[in-house]
Amino acid sequence: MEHQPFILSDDLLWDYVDGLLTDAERKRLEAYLTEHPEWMARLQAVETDRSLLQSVPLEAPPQGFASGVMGAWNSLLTPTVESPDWIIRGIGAVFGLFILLPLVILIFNGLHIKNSVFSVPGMPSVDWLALFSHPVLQYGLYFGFTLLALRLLSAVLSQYRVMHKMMV
Amino acid sequence: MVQMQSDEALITQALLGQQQAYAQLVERYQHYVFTLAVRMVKNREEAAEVAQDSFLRAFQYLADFRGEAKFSTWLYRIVHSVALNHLRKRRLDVLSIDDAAHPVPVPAATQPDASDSMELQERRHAIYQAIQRLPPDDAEVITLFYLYENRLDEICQIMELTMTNAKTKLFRARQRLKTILETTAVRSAL
Repeated sequence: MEHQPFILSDDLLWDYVDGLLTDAERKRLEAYLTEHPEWMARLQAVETDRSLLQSVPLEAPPQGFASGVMGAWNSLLTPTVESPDWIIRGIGAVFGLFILLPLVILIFNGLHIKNSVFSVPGMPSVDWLALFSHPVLQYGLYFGFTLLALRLLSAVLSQYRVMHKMMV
Repeated sequence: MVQMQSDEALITQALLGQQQAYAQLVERYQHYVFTLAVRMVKNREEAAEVAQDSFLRAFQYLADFRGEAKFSTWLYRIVHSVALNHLRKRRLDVLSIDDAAHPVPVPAATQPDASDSMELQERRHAIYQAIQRLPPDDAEVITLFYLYENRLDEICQIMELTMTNAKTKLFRARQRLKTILETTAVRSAL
């Protein structure tokens, strides 16, 4: 089987200096160059251009670029790392109140049970309707849920802000 | 003597919350990231924005970096993605060879190397200017392959191309670069 005629071009020389030829192609080209030394000057020109391409200087980023990136990174971290403690404490206090208040009422009612210590104590009864219709408890409930809603809104907004900054 | 830490060591430290490690990664890669961004968006102000967003995104997803590829390859892939999104957002058409609507000013960094002959300096400057005039994806592939010395398989990862497509893209980019250089030479001769 006959080989196809070898046609040397600048593109082939570029592929050669770029290391993109297969072993067989490379050997064939090197053999051709040995037989046709007039192409050596062309090869040298390609090699020179390649080294010039490699030595093109990098662009200098604007002054203070690195510190700007770090500043932006820190500001992105801030809303997720820092938590407004007073909100969490407030919510904790409200929920604590909800747990403690019925307990206090239960204990208070228990003290007024007339049965002796030897008899089986009856279940203390609590008027839950009256308890929750009490204005202090109602406002407390509203206050607690408002705080919780604000806290959730703040978390969602800060997350959205972070994601929005990230999405380009 | 201060020993330079590897990327992997800096990434580990950064993930442990050491801000200094993040800062060192920025210092190390800022020129590369910015240059790639300039090559793609063809505008220094927008490139600074793209470069910053790329770093921020890289930091946000740093825990996802598995070390299967080089950190630089992973980072350039982010730059590629951020810059493409930026170009889409601004509805920038791919610049034609003769489009000089968004020229990139030649920075001081292109000052000639004293060791080179005048001819080589002029040739390097011509190549530099020709790269600026290439369409974004051509300029990107030329920068990644020749300037950053990425292998073709790494370019495939960065630009999300097949090996054949990457090879073709490199070939075409080189052809366009050659055309620009020849056109410029003819113009300057006239």
